[in-house]
Amino acid sequence: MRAPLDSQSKFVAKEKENQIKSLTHINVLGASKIYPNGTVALLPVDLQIQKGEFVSLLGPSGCGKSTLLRIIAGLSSATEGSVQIPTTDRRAFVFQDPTLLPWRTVESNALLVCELEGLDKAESKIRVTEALQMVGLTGFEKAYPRNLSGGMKMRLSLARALAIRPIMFLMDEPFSAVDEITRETLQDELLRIWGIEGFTSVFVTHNLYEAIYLSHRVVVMSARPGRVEKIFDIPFEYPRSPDLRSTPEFMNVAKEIGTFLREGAIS
Amino acid sequence: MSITKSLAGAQGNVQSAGTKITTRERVREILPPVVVLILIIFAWWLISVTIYADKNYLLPRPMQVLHAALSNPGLLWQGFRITLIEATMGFGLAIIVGLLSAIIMSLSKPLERSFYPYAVLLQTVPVIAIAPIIVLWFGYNQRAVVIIAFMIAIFPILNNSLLGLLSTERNQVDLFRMHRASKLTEFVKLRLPAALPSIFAGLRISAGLSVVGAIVGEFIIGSGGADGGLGVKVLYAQARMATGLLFAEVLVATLLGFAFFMLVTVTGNRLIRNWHESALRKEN
Repeated sequence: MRAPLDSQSKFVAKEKENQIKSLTHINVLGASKIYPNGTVALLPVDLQIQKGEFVSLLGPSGCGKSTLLRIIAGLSSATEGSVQIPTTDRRAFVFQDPTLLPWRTVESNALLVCELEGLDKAESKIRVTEALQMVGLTGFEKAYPRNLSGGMKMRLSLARALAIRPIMFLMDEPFSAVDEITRETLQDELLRIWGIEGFTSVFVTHNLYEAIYLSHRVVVMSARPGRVEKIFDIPFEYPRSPDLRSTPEFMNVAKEIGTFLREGAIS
Repeated sequence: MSITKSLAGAQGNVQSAGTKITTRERVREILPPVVVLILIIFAWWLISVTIYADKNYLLPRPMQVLHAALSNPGLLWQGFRITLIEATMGFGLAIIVGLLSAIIMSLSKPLERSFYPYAVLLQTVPVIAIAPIIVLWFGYNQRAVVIIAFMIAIFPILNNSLLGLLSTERNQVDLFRMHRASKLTEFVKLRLPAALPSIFAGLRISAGLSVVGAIVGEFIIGSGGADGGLGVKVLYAQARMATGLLFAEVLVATLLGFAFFMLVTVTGNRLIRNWHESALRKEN
């Protein structure tokens, strides 16, 4: 009698494992980064990010959050450990600065990533039109980046990434250079677009409120050496309203993580 | 609400950037240097009729120079034509060799490491001092002049182009790598256009230098007499104490250098006018 039961529970466990595996989109397995000069940028990290999940990496400068994101993006390789990602999934990356090509028009800039990915020209054009509409840049197609405000440049940078319809959206402090009001607007728009497109998001930020407002989970990291300290589940339902930012519940979560961050910084 | 407002404001900017420059603005731009030119000619005239009134063989009067120019049009035209051809060939050669070397060095780290120090070092060699060696090798002919013009003109092109090609923004390169762009795509769509302002900065310097090089070359090959370019003619006029003609020839040489410079500047600004600060018209 014991044997079948055992095999059955094994089967259930296996089933469950498969289920988790199929939901896991980005699987970081003990990835670390040590530079040739001996500087430890990132101690081994284990992190499973599910399909369609919004995860923020939060921490002070030097905590390795950008390093981890670059490893996930494939822009940098882990010294040890690995990152498992379905290779066929389209990844888009948004940098801290808009990284626009100043000699290209708004439309042409938005087309760049489609071009690099070798997408069909006519199809790309339709997608770019859609993406520009999504970020509210319709009517500016023929303008040059120098004619855009900082917030608009960042919108264009988002549109360029969105145009390939990414399955995975990696963002490295994309809103840190814009003013507070624009930043909140951009956060709302990002959430709205994410709600429609459903891509898996990894968002690096040093802004506590931004991380909480956007994410399912906030990965808190600390510096010297860079490491993951704790992962917080954010209890708010999507779609989130801009008013959420001023609710006591939101403040409580911010207080909890904020306290944790401060204590981490002292120790 | 605030978003739509700010968008509308920015759109207004886009349109105003595209509006035509009025004649009034153009006059305001051109008038000051013209006034300076008139003042300089006036000062020249003043000195030539007072201090040098009886020594006009040292400093001719403006009218004497004009007279010398008008009475020797064939001579000046011939000198202009020959120097123009030499400088153009030297400059053209410098563009081809300089740009190609810069591109090759920018694509290969080992090559860049091996040759770049010499590219910098060679710039410090007073090329004028090796001009006699070049004449020794290539003979007293126009070919030597072209080589000298080329040698003087190549380094600013090489240096500035290489610097431009190597200073592409890190994030832009990462963006291209992230999406698995080939080296060729990265070069054509990113590195080259990003380097255009630097390349044209080099070309602007070299344009004037190639004329200088051609005239230096002509000084050294010397003879050739009536068939020589402006450099040769300047030497002849000086030997004959024909100061009026000498000044006219120097002015024509200056005009030639200026024309070269302007041609390159206008071409460059046309290529980068939409985006680079140096080529943008002032908007206020």
